[in-house]
Amino acid sequence: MSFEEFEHQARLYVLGAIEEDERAAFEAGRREFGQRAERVIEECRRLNAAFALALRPQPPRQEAKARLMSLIQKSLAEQRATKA
Amino acid sequence: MSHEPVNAIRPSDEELMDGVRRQDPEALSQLYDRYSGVLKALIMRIVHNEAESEDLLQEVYMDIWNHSQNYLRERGKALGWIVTLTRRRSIDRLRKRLSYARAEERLQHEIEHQPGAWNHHSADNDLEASDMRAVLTKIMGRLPAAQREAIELAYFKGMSQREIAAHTGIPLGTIKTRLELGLKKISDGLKGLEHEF
Repeated sequence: MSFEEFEHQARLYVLGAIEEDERAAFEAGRREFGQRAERVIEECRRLNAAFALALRPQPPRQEAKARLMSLIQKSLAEQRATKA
Repeated sequence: MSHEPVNAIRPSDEELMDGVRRQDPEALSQLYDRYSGVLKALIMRIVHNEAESEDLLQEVYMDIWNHSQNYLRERGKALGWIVTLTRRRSIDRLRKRLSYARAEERLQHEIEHQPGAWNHHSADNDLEASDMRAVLTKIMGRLPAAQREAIELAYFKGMSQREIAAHTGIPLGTIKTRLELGLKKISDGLKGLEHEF
């Protein structure tokens, strides 16, 4: 596998679109190219974030955050109670 | 281990993740304020259901809270990890849902009758768009429709290349080429924005 082919496979891998039969070659390329491969994968992970950031944000309802933070506080209280 | 709350004026996402790992609710609260709108948009685009989107958003933030130790700084930016987690959860839900077929129908309708997800709003006219989002939207919007469709099916439906080929009735080789060209263009377009996210 050339490095250019690996770069393409890395983009598919990060998107979750890589085929099972391509995965072994991708993993072999990952080992072969070492740190260079990891840098490419890290760059490709930005694709994932970029796709989301390009969408128009849809703020959730205000009470959604209050509900979440209440669950967090409850979870913290339970942890403290377990430790005590 | 430090238990100081996150209180910097504008901590990075990674610093906030450190705070979450220390179980600081303020850190999670800031991550929520920063990304809940984007994540909800992403979830909505996948599951097409308002109530389910808010449930999933809550589950995602609970996951971030409970599994922050799974995020490793050396593996990349926090936002990439958060978005991956959000996508995975949403696609899993979509696959499990009984109304999957109806959502699929709606998505198909959108793809066939509306412009793609990333250019249904014009960045030029969107006064609320951040500069970065405007740039990203333009990059996505410039893709040929066929390439964008292939990428959307992979990204929003979690389809593999073979599934996309089967779904669209287009040869696998063509789908591979479309994904390759489309993803390369986006990747090249993002160069220079590396420090933004």
